[in-house]
Amino acid sequence: MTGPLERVLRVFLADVSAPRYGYDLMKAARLPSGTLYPMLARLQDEGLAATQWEQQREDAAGRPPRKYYRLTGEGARVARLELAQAATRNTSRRSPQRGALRSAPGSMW
Amino acid sequence: MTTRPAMQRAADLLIRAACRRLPGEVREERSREWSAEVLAILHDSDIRVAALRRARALGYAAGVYRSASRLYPSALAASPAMAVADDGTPQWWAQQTNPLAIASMVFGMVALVLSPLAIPAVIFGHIARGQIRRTGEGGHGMTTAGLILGYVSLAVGTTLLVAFVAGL
Repeated sequence: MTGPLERVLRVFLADVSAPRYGYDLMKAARLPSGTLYPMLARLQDEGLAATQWEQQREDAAGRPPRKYYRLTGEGARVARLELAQAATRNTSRRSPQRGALRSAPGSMW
Repeated sequence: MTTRPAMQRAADLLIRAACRRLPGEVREERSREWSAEVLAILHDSDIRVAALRRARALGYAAGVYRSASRLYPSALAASPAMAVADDGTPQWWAQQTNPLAIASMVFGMVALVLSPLAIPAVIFGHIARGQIRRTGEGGHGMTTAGLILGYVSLAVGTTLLVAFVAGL
């Protein structure tokens, strides 16, 4: 599992029931849009993530509805499993990759 | 100042260009999704400086454009728009994007922080337009973005330079 995917799954798992929109996920997982959307599309293809359109609210002040993503039940199960496995791997072998990813330039996008 | 509509317009153009790379049945939905996200970025109160919000919106749109072809690889293969040419190349490969159009847009974006680069952005933009008209290559929207950004940066850069020299 790659660093970016791990970060997205962690964000989702922080509150499984909370649906998140794209920019929200980008900020929370510190990922550029060019990485996030293909990843979400793959998760969706595999039935691990689902989407729903925001209900138009009264206080939205004409703001267009956003598309929200969340993990499916199966997605949450697989994500927990994968993250647990990744954690075991990381404790047995210190990965230099993590630090590099954190400071990667262009994380703004 | 004219930077506001220019940046926003460039972001919109990029998103429209990205949607054109998608299979027809998902275009409309993705377009609505991404446009709503651009607005969310432009109204993000975590980023204090308005120019940075606009820059981020532009970066967002650029990322969306870059990754659009990776979003629906299986659907692309199946959709009629993605028919395969005689030599076995999918048609969306045949529609090449003009390299100077890409260069113009990239220079145009960087020119927003480094004004002198507006000059190559504008020159490349005009050359690319001519080439696209002759060859039918893709990238017309990119030249528009490159030219708008280029001219805006040129105007801002010149104004600053004149103000600086006059102030000495």
